[in-house]
Amino acid sequence: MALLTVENLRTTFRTDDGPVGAVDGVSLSVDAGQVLGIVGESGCGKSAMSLSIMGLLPKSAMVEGSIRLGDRELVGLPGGELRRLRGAEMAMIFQDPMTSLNPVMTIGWQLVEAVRLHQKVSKAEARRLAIEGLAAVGIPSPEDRLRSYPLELSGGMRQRVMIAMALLNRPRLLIADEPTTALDVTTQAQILELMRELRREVDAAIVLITHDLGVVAELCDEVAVMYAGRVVERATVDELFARPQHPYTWGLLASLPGRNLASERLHQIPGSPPSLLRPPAGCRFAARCPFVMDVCRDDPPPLTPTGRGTAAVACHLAQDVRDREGARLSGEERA
Amino acid sequence: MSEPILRATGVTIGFPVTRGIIFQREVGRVQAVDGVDLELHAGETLAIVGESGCGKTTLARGLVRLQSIDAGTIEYLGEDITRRSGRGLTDFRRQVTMIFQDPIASLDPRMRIGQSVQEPLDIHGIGTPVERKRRVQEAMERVGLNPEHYNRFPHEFSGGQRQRIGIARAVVMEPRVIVCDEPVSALDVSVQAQIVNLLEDLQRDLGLSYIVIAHDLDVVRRLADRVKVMYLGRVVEEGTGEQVYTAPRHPYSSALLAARPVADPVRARSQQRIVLEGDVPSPLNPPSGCRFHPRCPVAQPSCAQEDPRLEHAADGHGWACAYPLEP
Repeated sequence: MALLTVENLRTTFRTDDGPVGAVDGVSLSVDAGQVLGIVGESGCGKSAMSLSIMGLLPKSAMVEGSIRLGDRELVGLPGGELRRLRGAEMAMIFQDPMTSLNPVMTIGWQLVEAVRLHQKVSKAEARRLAIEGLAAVGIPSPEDRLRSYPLELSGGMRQRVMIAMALLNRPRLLIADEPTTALDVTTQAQILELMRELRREVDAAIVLITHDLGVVAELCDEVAVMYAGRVVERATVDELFARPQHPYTWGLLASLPGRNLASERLHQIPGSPPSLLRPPAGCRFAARCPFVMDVCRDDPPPLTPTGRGTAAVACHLAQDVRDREGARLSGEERA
Repeated sequence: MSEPILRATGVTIGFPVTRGIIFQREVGRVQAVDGVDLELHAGETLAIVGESGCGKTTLARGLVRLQSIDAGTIEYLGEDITRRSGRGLTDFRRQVTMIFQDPIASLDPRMRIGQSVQEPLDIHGIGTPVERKRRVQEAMERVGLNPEHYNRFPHEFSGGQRQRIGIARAVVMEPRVIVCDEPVSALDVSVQAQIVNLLEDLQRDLGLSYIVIAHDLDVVRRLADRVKVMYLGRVVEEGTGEQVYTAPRHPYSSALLAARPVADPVRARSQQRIVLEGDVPSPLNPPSGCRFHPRCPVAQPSCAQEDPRLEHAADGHGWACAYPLEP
């Protein structure tokens, strides 16, 4: 049974220029012990969606649809109840640990606070849990680190502290929003390795938000590709890389410099994403799509199963065209 | 080989370490760049890679004389420009320009983008107002901006277009060398590809030479003819892209390359991974001997004492390691 079920989620921000539909009818689900990757570029709505799930958006944002954690509906839940869930049942790791850690409090103070907010334990017990938590994410001499301030730690260490803090209360759902983007490749590899280990040990559902297809390939079981507020393709990670179905996914894969060394020029997706203030009527990728047809400009394609497992795609192209192009792309790259 | 356009010899750059708030006193110096040699030839791209804090950005700033250097020399077309100032320095800066990582931070939000692109021409007093305007429009066209957008402000552009504005500012001077500091790392993948292609086109059409500072090894592989790998202020390996990427000899280069996530789930699962432990040590107090030895997977006891020098093979591939990996 799915731990997190999102159905027809719409997140709209009120702005001076009118409403902006950052998330426009997204449905997805994650099981316990699974990692769902959400891939897309800036402005595709991936962060707005994760903040909607956590209930962390300002009042000016309107969240409609359904978000269920287990069998509890989160949309419309009062602030107090959401606060009790956050940090206990569900936790989030952000891209930049420096903006999420309090710079004037020690690491220990912050970890102990996080434990005592949700568990009725003594200070000494909370401290013991904090030390355990730091040790579990591979921080050397965790007892001494409790006395450190965030500034005294390196970027990778801070991210480990964030992960330790998120896991302190054994959440059932963990959302990681670009957890390695601000880090060096070597540190990124350490954090990815850590998340792989945690995945085996903690039986939580993980939603990993990233723009990096490399990170997706390393860590995820399932992937949803988002474009301009909508899911355009959903598949298992193997399926996505072996038989990508959506022209936007093809573009993303083809523009990776490391996968396409032989090609004379790097593939580029022309133009830039549409404004969500006045989104196009049909398929939102139509203006940048090399395979665009007349129907694409008028009718938004629904997310339709491809018939292979859980895979689904939102594209008007015929299945055999998509299969051929997708296979050509992944075949070319491996050659 | 012909005379290089830019040559740096033994460049050393340090920053003072101070104690005290009111009575500041210097208690030491951090060696951010420690004795780096470099040659850049006409039409080629030289990349400098390494983790944050390895000194790559400081080195780049030193090369364009945005940062004073403590020791060593920088020659441009055979002339020593290390101590140049005034007119001489201005002339040098007309020919060696820079592109920065964050296009938002490097553009004045209250200046129209045409003015921003024109600003370097104004500062250097190049041409008449009519000529300047023409050159700005040419530069904008060349980088794929619509010259009709001359009067718009930076916030009206997307990240990729802002980076194009930054590039237009660099090429409007008709330079010979552009130093690119993380030119694409702030951009989305699909836009990254647009900028990488643009840099390649400009190089071909204008005969530019690039020095690219980057931490994204895949982008570097794409752009660079030659690569230098830096660790704690020193070059630990250098060679052609082919040499460094397919047959790295220094354990650090090899670990850096292995750390890249692979965009292929099947290979990602099967890959044997060497994860480099720990962080880059503080340059305030660099390790004895080889600076990489505390993190090195193949370190020997002698590595803690002897500091290996950069040695070169006959094919130009160089590494600073006493126990290099087999190619």
